[in-house]
Amino acid sequence: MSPSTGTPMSLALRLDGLSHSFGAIDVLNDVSLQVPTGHITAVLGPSGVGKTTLLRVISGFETPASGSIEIGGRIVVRDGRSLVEPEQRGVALVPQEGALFPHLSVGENVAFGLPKRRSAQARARVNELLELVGLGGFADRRPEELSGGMQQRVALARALAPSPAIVLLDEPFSALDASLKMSVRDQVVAALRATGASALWVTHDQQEALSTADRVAVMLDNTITQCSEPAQLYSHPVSRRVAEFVGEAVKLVGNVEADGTVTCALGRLPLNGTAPRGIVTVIVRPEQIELDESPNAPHAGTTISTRFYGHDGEIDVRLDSGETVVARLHATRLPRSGDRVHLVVSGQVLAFA
Amino acid sequence: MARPSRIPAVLAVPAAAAVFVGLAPLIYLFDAGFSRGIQGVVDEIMRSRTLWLVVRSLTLTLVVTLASVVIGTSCAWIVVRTSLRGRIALLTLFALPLAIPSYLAAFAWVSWLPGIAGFFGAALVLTIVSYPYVMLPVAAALRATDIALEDVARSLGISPLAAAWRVSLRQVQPAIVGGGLLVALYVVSDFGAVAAMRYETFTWVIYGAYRAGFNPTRAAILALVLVAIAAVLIILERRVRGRTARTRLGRGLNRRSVQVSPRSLRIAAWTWSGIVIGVSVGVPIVSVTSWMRRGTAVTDWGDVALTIRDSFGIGIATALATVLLALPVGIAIARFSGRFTRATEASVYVTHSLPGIVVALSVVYLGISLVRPLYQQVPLLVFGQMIIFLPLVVGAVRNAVEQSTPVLEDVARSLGTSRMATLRRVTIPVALPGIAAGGALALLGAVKELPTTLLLRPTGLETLSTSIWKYSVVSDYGAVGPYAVALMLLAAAPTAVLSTFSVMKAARQ
Repeated sequence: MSPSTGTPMSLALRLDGLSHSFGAIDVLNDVSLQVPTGHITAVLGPSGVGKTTLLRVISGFETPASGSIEIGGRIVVRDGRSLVEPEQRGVALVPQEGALFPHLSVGENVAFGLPKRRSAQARARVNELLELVGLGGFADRRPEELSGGMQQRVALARALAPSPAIVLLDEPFSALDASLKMSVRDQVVAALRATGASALWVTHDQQEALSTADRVAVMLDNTITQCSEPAQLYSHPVSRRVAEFVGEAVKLVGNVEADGTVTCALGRLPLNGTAPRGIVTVIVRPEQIELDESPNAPHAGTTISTRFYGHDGEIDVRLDSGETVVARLHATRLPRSGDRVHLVVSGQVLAFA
Repeated sequence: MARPSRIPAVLAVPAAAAVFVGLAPLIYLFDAGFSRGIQGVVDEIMRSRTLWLVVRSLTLTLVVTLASVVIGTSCAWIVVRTSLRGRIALLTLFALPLAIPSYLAAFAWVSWLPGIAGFFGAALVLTIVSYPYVMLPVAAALRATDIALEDVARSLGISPLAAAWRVSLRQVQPAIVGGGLLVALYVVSDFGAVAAMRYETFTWVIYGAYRAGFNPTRAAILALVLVAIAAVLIILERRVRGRTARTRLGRGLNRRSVQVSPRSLRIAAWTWSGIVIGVSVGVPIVSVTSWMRRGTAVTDWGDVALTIRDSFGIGIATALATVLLALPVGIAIARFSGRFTRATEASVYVTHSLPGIVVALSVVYLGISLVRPLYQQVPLLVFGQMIIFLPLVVGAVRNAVEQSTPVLEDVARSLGTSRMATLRRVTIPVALPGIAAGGALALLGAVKELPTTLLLRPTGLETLSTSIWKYSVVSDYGAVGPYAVALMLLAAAPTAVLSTFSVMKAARQ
């Protein structure tokens, strides 16, 4: 759950116990989340977990069965009753593939949500925002003349123009190809930061979430299981499922000792955090596993396959004790399939009952 | 994303009103038809003359449908699967008869060969004006099937003709059946051709009952039987269409190029195309031009101009009213699911099964019994034509709205735009080209429409269609000439262009 219970912080968005279902199928189950003003929060989850429904509930196109929503300090849904229509909520959507209005020019698209959209003031605002997303001078173009990445940036400018309480981005880059994705993403994040906008950003892409958001909310099984800063999320997942979902995980059976260490096929290892004594699942990140070239090194095994990625690579090793583990190694040090290796773990590991 | 099922009142209220307007004729028909109770209805239907009418109508329908299937499929084949030059132009020529009103084609033939009147003439004329209903969907379906499949069949040792028959034709079978049902619906609803050819079917007898100082109950019961037949055809066509859509799912890119056809096949294809186009388009055009030559000396051009003005005046009024009525219905069907929408959609299809003569008849009676002052006034005429063209325009609005993603509307609302303003600023402008095309088709259709105009027009007002009718029934073809030419140029030709365009667009998607 959200750790921000100390000092009162102004919130752009507050979700409290939201539940929703389509017929017999639960899509949201007791979802709570807080987005502080000026922050970018990513909602990270596999597809089909209810992320899009969450955005539709927040923006008012679906009414939740129960729970409350507060946007910019104003209650818009109380106990499953919608009090405010979508157009009054001050949320601005940036959907997949931009969804620019095809009958309007780029400038008219950006001006769409402005109160006096044909005034000189509005025109100035449009130019300012197009400048911000790197598309100054494109106001008179037609949407279909722009590339996918440009359309996505116009969609963001259109969302930012009326200064909404929060911008909602729904997998905004999933339609772009990989090479374009990163640069557009950086431009979008820069524009959000420059305007100090608050944003809720839905994605299934871990790298995208971890590298751009202030905080990442992991959504599994139709609810938010953890919301933390990215580094915290990776090093201190609250459950085995979160640990397995965020980043790669090598799972081993272990036993927690009285002194707080854990014993497993890779030796006696220091624990990150605490775990109840007894049999546990130990989670080791592949980059923690290294080759041990010291004489008489323990934990021997045979390399059964290798994958070369360029800057680094991975090997699968079947330990002599029977378990199979994955190690991520510098590319220059990759053993070959069939080679005998010795492994050692650096740093603390996670353990879950 | 699933369409939401709760429909806002902004749309629901006008949509319900439109549905009520569309169903008004049926309400009247049931009221008048059952005025002597269920026994009266049964007696009337079991009269030998009624059964005789059913047999005559169905025989004509069957013959025309079979002939249209053969002609339509062969023409589609020529356009899509041979290497003839100018196949796009050929497609347009094959589609042209769609735009020629059946009464005009029929008068063109009887003025030339008076002996043709009767069953043969009616069947011939209805076949040449309705085979495009088979040709267009089959051509679209053929384009969507992969020629590589025929190549595979031939590599397995099967002759080219057998491969075409066993592979491609089997795949386009739903399109053929669907098109055939549309032809059947056209034939049972047609008034112009059977009237001009003096072949008695339901529509002609219903008109007679009205002219003969009417027996409202009998006319209403006959109309109900006709509506029932049409409804069966509509339901079957809908079923087949659902299947066609499914068979086209999930195809990748298809090879479009065709192999060069052998010389003998090209000659055969050209000959057949020449015969079809000559009979369906050539004869009407030649006839109408020859009337024109006979008529110019006695023609009152001021009268012609006035008629054109009145025709288009009523057409424009009809188109505007129909678009206004169709907008909420089309948007509701495109954007919402749920019981209300399904009921709306179903009633639009019921309206579609109402032949023009039935609509005309019911609006006459509604006018006499409910709004006497409006009887034989322009508003009532526009009202009747609006009912006839409502399904067409609803379809156009729906297709146009479905082309754009509903996310556009969500974005607009999240930017602070109300539901009503979103319709005005996003939904309708985005769909405008398609909506305008639907309105234009309604305008041109209203200019060509005959039975409703005949029955509902104010005394003394003449349109192009009623003028053609008025002079043709007394065989004064010299006088018909200018009106017929005006109708062909101002209504038929634009209709052909518009519908070919929309079919080609649909085929591309």
